[in-house]
Amino acid sequence: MFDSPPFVHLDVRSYFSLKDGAFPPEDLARRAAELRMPAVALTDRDGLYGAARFVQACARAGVKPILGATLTLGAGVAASVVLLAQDDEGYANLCRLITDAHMLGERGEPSLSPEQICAHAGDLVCLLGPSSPAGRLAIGRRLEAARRAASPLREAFGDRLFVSVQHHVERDSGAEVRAMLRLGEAIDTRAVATNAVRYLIPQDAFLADALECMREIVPIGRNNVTRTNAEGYLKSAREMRALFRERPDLCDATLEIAESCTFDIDLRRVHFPEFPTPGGRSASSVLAERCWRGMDHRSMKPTLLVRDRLDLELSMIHKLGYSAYFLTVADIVADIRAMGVRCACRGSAAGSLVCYLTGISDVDPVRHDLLFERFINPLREELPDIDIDVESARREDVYDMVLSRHGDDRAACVTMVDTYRARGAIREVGKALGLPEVEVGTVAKAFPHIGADHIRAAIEALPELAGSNLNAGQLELLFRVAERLDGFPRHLALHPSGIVLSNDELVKRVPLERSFQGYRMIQADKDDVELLGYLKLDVLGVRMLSAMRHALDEIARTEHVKVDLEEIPLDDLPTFELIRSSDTLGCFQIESPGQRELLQKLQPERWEDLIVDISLFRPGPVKSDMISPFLRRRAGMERPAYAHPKFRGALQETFGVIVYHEQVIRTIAAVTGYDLSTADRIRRHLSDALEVDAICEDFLARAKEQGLDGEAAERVWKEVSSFASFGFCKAHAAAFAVPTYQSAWLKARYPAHFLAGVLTHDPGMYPRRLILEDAREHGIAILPLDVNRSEPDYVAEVVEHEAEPPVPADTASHRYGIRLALKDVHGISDAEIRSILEARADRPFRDVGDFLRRTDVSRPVVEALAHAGAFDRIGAGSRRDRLYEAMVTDPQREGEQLALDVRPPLATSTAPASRISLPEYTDAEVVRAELEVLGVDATRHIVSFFEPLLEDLGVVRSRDLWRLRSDTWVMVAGVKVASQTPAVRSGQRIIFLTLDDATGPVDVTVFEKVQPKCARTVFHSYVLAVWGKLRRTGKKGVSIIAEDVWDLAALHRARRTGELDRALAKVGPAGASLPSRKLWHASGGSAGW
Amino acid sequence: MTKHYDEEVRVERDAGMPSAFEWRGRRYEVADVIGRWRIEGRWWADGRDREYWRVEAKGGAVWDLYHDRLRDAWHLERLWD
Repeated sequence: MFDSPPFVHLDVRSYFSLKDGAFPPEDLARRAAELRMPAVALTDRDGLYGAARFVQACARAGVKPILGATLTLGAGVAASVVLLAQDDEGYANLCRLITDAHMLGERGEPSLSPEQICAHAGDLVCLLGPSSPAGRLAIGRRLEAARRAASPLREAFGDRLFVSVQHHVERDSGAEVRAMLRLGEAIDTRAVATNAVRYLIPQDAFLADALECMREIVPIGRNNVTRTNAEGYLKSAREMRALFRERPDLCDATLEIAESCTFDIDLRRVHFPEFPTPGGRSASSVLAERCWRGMDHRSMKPTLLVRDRLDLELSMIHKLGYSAYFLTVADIVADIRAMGVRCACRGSAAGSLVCYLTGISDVDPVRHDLLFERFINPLREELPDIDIDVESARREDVYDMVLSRHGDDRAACVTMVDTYRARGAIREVGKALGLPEVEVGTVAKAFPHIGADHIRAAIEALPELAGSNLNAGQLELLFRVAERLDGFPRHLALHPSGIVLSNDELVKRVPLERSFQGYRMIQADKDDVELLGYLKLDVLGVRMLSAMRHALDEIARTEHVKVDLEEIPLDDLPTFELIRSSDTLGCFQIESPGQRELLQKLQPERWEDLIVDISLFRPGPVKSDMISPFLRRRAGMERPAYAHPKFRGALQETFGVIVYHEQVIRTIAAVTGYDLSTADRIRRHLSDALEVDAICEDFLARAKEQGLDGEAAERVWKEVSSFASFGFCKAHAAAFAVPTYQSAWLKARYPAHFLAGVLTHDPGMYPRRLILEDAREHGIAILPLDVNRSEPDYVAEVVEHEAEPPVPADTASHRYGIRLALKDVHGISDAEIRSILEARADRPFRDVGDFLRRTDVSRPVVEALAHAGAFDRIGAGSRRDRLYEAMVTDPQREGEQLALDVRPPLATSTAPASRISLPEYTDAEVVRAELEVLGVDATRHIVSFFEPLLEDLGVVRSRDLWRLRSDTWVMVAGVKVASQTPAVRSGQRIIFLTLDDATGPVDVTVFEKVQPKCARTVFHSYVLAVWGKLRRTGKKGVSIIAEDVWDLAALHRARRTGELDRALAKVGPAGASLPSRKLWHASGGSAGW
Repeated sequence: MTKHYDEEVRVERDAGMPSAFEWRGRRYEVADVIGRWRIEGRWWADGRDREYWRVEAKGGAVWDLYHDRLRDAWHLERLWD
């Protein structure tokens, strides 16, 4: 079967020619190998996105890869030529051309002129096919025009230009072939056979139709599909040669061209960044010097341990060639700090002393016993990757700085390939097939549960589809396409964090394009970056850093103190008291209900305890229940156990329980006598089912050599192998512990300032209203919106007792309130906020009319401000008067009425004083207005309107729950502020809820067995009452195991009509009775919710 | 002028190519195969897969025949005269 002379496909488009080719580059390599082709080209449209993956797959398949691209020429009717890289220079030219095509034209519409292509023709093969301008003309029997169109290319490419002849077995194919051959003769150019491959096998041609119609956004139908048959597949050599039976030379030419393309992209050869060093010194010596200087700066004693550690790291970094990378990153971090942007290093890089001494990381790896080998390991193929967290609000500034400082040709952002997920594909294909949108949406939603193989059953099971126009045949078609599109690239976006740092060779090996946001972005995703051998820096925007920055700015503004969070003591008692009482709402990493429960149990006393806490709160440790033995041993209820005294050193800090990757590494090293690098490599392969047996054998053999008895070795192996995948990188946890502690410190020391930051940047999992409630709990007054006082963001404000709402009595030490922010006013624009600030910088606003005259704020926003009470403290009358004024006053803006500005304008404004005052807002109206305008109940808690109901229900409030014994049946109530349904060990679905009842949070657990009767209410209601059993989780921590759940608002309504008993009746856990209810109480004082 | 038919015919093949066909009770010998093409697609509708042959019958008339590969049936589609 394979005895035909070979053939090489030179015109092949994969799914990286977005919505054109119908296969991944890897499959191309595999299929070419199956067909025993010596080589195959990948020539995607205006891109080399698939290059790295393709080359890697070709190496595995044993096929020679040829890299090229199909370049779009001109705008409008898409003409194109195919270019193939012969060598390094050719590839550099190709990258340059693709970059130009993307960067010089409209974004998303890459194209070049023939002149541009001719200017960079060196070492590129050019295939002039039927889609090229000349080819089109030739096929249209305009040979002379075709000759003229081709001649510049002929001149630029010389004998590297070929006429590409395709025979797709269409009615006119014969004529086309003859026309192309005539063109070749006319410009004295050789011809080569190609097949414009878009799918690998004919059966997949339908995908190409679907992609084409989705690309052009037209319905799939005969008028919109260009192919007439399925001949554009990866034909075998025999098939290709049969097609061109009469001209075997056209097939032979493919081999010749393939021969001439010798370019090797050279995967995994690392391309280090450049770092200019003074006086020709090596980057390594500069790095060493910086580290020694850093030791001074960090006041670190150069003990023998420290010196050895530094030498080891520096020599490893030097050996691997990473010195310039570290210097570059250190400079970038210094630049970020110099911009006044908070930043923090995350991940395993925190395990490096070099990172600590050069200021990249703020964690002392010697003190915390972190391993460099977990970060950089010469035995690993991965390149080191440093992740820097920066203030989310400043991330783009940081990007701009890094990209401009590092140079256009040497740094660029990483691409993220957005791929089709089954659901999205169903929607899009459904649209293209012209199926009814609503029904397709239903099918898409139900997707993982219904698959292509049981569509008919699914249709019957989905009541929404009954009686619809969707029949099984259409659905089968839909699924046939949509399932295949799963994983196809949909479009390319900016990776949220990655920046490649390289030398100026970068643009010669990867094309660039512009992201939607305008950033220069390489045509490579993060995996490609690794394959292509580029070092990258991840810059992640973290909202908590912005929140802390805001807090620090507020402290500086109000207290005139410059707090340096890097210098705060790490054993601050109030901070640890706050952590131990799990008063950690708003704090980094430790605010979730689960974390607060863990804090209760763990009772952290030292900074190091935070590292343990963060490490333990992971699916792994939770799943394998490492927490219980750890806590028992820590509490002294159980003796620490070590499989062998040898491991005491590695495991002592966690009482013999393996918590960290670092401990796994150390234990393996201790048992086997291997160095830490080897031990880390072993750790990484422990979860590899194929290798684990061999590793085990070696482990036990080495243990024996090291003098460990067989039984002990077995025991250690069991522990190591079962805990390895669960453990957490201690360096990572230690890096996280820095902002965790800092945020807790800020909350303990400057709660108003800190919470103002949290409210402004919204970093956590809780809605703002819960944070506001938390502030109130801390005696911080929530100061109402005020046109003269409110700033764009939430700010801390010294409370003036006589003018402001009363401050709770128990907060003598708290002098601050939090002022509500203008930016949260519904509908307000930045320009309007600026206009308010500018006008009031002259003088405060006197009344609504004054505000209307001196600002450019639109009428609806002025009304919203009045409605929410922002004018309550100026002018006279009720809030309704002010709202009325805001609605009817004719705002003669400043300038139009300069002369009258000093007194209330008579003719143009309805003077409120002359009217009878309108009634003041009720409390309920005040809160409702706040919810409408600001989206939060700022002055009063929603729950406060249900007080009489809560009393009737016998609700126990959050602040009193801790006094109750375990297993007490209790009724709780509150606003739902968070719900999570994480996967847990037993596999059952558990819903974790946090309710807020105005005295604090109440954690509720809803187990699967009660979900049938509760789930609907839990998910759909906003205010809930829960009947359940109290479970103690720590000293002050409790959670409620739900037995039944009601919608509080529904109960409220039932109570007003005297039907509360009936509404509650469906409850009835055996053996537990509801607390007595005082239903005869009148329902007076109801707010009307 | 062409005449459009689309009627089933019986076709004899030689080395894969039509060598003769029988239509409306008459037998036509193929003198020359002029063209061959494939049409495949329309999977969203009826779906079709046809191999077309343009042949010159003895006597000079040119015929388009196609082999419906899904049903394994031959049709005469067109007569060019």
